[in-house]
Amino acid sequence: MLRFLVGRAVLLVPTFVGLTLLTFVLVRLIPGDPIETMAGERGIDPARHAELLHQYGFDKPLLVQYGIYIGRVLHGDLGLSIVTQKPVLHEFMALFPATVELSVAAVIFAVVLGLTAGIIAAVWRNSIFDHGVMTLSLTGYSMPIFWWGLLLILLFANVVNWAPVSGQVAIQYYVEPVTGFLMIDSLLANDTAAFRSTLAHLVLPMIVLGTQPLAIIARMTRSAMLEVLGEDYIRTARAKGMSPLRVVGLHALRNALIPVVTVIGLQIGVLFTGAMLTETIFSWPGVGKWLVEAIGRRDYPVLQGGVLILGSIVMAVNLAVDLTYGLVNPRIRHAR
Amino acid sequence: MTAHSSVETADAAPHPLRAFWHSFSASNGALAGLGVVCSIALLAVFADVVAPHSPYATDSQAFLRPPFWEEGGSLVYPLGTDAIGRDMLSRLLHGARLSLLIGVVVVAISLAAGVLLGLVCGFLRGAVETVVMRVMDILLTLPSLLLAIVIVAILGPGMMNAILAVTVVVLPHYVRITRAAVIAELSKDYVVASRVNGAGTLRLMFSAVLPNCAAPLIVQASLGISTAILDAAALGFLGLGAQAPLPEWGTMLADSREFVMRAWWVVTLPGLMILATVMAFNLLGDGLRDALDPKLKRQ
Amino acid sequence: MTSLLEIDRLSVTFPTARGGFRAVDDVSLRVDEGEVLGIVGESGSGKSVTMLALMGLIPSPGEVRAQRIAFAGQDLARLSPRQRRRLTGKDVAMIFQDPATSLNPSFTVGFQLAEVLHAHEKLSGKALRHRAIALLEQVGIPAPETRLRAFPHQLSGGMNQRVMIAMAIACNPRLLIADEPTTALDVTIQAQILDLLLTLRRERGMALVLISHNMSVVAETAQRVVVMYAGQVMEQRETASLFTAQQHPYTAALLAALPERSAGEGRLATIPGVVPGQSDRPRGCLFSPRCSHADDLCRAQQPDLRELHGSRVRCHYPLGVAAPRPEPASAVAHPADRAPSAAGEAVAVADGLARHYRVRQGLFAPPAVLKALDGVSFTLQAARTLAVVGESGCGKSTLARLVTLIDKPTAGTLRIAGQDAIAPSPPVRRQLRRAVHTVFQNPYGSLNPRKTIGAIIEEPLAVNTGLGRVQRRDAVREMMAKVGLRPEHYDRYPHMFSGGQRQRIAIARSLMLRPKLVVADEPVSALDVSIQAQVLNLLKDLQQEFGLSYLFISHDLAVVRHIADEILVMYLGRGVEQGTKERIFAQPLHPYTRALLAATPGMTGNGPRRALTGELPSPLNPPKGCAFSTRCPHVAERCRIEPPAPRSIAGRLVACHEAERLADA
Repeated sequence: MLRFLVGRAVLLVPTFVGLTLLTFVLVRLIPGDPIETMAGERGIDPARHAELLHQYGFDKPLLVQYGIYIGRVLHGDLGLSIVTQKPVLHEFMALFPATVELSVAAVIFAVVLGLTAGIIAAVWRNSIFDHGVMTLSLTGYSMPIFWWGLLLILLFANVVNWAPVSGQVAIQYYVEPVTGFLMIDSLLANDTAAFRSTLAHLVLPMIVLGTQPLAIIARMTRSAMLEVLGEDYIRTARAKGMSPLRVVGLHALRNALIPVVTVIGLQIGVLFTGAMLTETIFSWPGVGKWLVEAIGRRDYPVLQGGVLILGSIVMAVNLAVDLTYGLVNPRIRHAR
Repeated sequence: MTAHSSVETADAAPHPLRAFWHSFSASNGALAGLGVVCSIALLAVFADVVAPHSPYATDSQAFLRPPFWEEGGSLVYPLGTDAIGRDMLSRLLHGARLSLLIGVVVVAISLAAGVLLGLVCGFLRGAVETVVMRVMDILLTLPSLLLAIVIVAILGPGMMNAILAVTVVVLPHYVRITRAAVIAELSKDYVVASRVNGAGTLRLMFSAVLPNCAAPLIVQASLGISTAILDAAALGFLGLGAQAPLPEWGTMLADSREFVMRAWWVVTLPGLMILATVMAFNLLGDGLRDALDPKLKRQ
Repeated sequence: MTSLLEIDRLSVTFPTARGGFRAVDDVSLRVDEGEVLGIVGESGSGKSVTMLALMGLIPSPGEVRAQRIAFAGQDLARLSPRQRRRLTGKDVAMIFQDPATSLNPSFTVGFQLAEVLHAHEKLSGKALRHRAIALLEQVGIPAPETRLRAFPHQLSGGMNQRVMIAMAIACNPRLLIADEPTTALDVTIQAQILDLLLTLRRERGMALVLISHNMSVVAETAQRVVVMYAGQVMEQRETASLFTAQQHPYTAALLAALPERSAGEGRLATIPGVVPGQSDRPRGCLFSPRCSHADDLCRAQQPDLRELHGSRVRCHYPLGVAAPRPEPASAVAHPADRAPSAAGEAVAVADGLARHYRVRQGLFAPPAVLKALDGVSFTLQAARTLAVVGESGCGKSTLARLVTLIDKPTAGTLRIAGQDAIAPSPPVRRQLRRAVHTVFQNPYGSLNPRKTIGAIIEEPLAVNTGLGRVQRRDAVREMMAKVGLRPEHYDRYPHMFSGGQRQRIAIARSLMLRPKLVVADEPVSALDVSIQAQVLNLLKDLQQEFGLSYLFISHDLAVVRHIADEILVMYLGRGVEQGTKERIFAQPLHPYTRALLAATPGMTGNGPRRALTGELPSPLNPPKGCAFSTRCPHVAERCRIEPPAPRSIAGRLVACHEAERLADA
């Protein structure tokens, strides 16, 4: 197991190097040199330009420049935002909790509903429930989520008025940031009204962001369960006189979970993609919206830093998924 | 000598194509998907003939006119008009053309490149494989839309660049599928038999292995069109894909966001088209998978 | 006397697109308290489905109908699902064919065993643990305390089957159903498992139903036999009279097709055709299309199962009953003349062939060396058959890969048709490619599913010769006729053919370049007995016609005795005994050869079989001296230290320190 872990971790190194190469090249390939890019539309006088080129090492050979870049990245220096002139890392850290809050809510929503629906659909195969789940699932993963968000806004703002459609908390509440997670901070501040407001604001973005993963998880769970239910060892369990509940809930589910866990892990990338759209639509103050705005403003250091951090996070999550996979699958756990 | 005549009777099984159609057409969903895909394709091809107006023609007398069945609507603009008085129906029809084009071009390029890379990896293994697969891993590590955005950020917004970006994003899937299929097929006895026959690498590649890897690739291609349409629409929605006034569905949605509260049709209709098209391709892909892969069919 | 189990008119139907498929058709049988009942039949005979129906394990669209299924006087149809569950797993238990897939991979052996004890006997805690350990001990699992924590993939196939048995006998069942319990296992392990089952039955007085496709296994273990065909019971009788007084033509034909019952020379009797499927189910007797005795009555009207001299038989014209009936057409063997072999010409000569693999054991550990093949020598004469025998992991398939030039040896020499086959020059390589071809074990994987039969068979010509399309087509048609395929098969695809026919196609392909040597890697082990006989006959016929040499790889000694001229017995990558068939079968010298023979049912008459103890050592970590020393009943001190070299004793090569002593004994 330790070998497996180390092996997986070692594999991450080249991927990380590749990722930094990509972000490094990103800024290089944009027309104009990096200083001009940083200066943006304000322009810059030639003397200052040359000085900065030298200061940032942009007059050195590419490989050296890449070395400098890596060195700065490893020290947590991702440069300054052109627009706000604040360190990219600080901005990211300030906004990331909101994205995490939204993503975690969406994952819980998707996993709980998806697993349940998938299992029941598999057990009651070809029932009305099964067909219903499969149809909804198909609709879910075919759904352009930016449109789905707009539809919900249309519905909730115009027709019914159950949930707020914009922002993370109602404007009248101020919550002292302690952890950065608004929901936790509002609880820490003992402000139940603000907490309730954050919950209400979370509902629609959570549904929108969770829809695709929900659809995929439900579908995957169903097919994994169906496959496992046809295995010889399920027949053995039945032959042993085990109750149907035990056969399905223990013998089958435990094995069906192995591919499902992988799929859930793969949803992290899907989730960040969705977060960019969802946060934009619902004015959710997270890193997704921040990145989309950065593109609009041609704020390349933000884009460069954001891509690097998000990519690294996905890598870390994938590693965690591999480890979980090892935990649920004894064949990997005991591999040489 | 004549070997003894005791021949087992061959089970009269139908030709593979007919068997495929038999099993494909058994699924209502697959047929519905095929039907919708075909009708959208027809509408797209004949958009010039079918559409009542030019997709770019504005009518200053008819801003945000509702569809004909709503109060204030008329059959001149059956599905209403947008904020600058362009006919929604015509724009949607021409949008179908763009979306299908995007989907087909993306899948064609990524399929060709992916199959080639996958074949090379599966056959050569070793260092080439390691490098290619590692690059694919990096591409897969990034959230798909973020990667597409990075590429568009480098190349600049626009439909062609969006197509290129989405192509790069979906490429790793084809490489992986092809490579996995090639490696699986290469270990089968019929390939070994072909080797014993003296078949060279190229013959193995294109005569023995590729036809047997076709099933997962066809399925992925069909599902890939829907991914491509969705991603390109998302780019359009973020203002990075096709640029106004092109009637691309995602771009249309972005333009009409601010009218969400006033004119439901400008927001609802383009999204509905995306949903319907993507669903149809997904249904088609599922149907193909069920019909082509007997192992999955049992589920 | 009351029966323990009574099944009366059981039918199982699976709905399909073209109407229902009857997997079990009007089956009645009984099992008495404490007896061993054997159920034999080819694939598709419904033997497993019958027992699954009893267990209530027919998967959901299947429909079970029976007049009565009674266990110990209780009508199962009247039990609630809950009561029925209390019965299954406790009083009636079942074990299955493939232990590797029949145990849940996600749970430990201990958990899966404890589950049964907990569910049916409400045991828990220490008492449960003790019972579990005691059970594992009873089924012969060493170090049971530690094995409780093992997962199925950490145990060998034989050990897993022992675990399955432990689970089945955990609650002292009165009836144990064993569905092909040894088919997925190696010969020596098969014998161990069968012995274990019989011992447990004796000790506990439970009844045992043994389902098998292998007549010899059933004949050696069961007291009564039920012969099934296409979902029906054809015959039911005491085992004692099975070989002497069968009454159903199907039983007789099946027995005649067994290679172990042929003298070892000549052709095997065959049953033409295949088991009927859903579409071609006959109206009359189900066996009538393949029966050499069938007449119009048989084809029109299905016979009933009737009592006859204390047995039951489903036939209008039972054998051994004086009645006018058609004479058999040509089912009986006509002994073929052996072609005089072109003496002296060696087709393949191998000397010290070895194939070692480096196996990475982890990221940082040094690679280990896996000696898949470790110094094998043989000479194969023209028009002769050399059979390579051994269990899985002995290196016989690696040898096949080397001889067919798919893989290169790491040491040793190999000459084929007088040419060096290890590093041949390009022109020699082309010649060699024409000289050797191969037939694989699995007829489903060895044909390209996307190509027509014609294209598959002609590929060797297309690649290696300059023949035109028409010439190739003619050559293919000619060869198809020789192997018994019809001309209209030319444009069909592999999935339309049965296993036996696919093997014919593969054989045709292998002969297109008129090779001198054909390597046949377990060519009949995936086939049913009646089809196996057809293919073996075909191989013999073709050998005579083309003067072929066969390198025939097999684990089945009965088949080997039928087809081979010479035999090479392998164990853990080395040849342990090598000589003519007559010598080796008459007086095997190496203890492993003896063990293999003893473990093969039907080879030793009806005497007691002695099972070999222990399991195959890991090829990554073989024993230091003689590879067989860990399992050898005659092991001496020297055997554990020094590996024996092959020596010539009593007219064969044998690699054993104790061979002289054994030869004299």
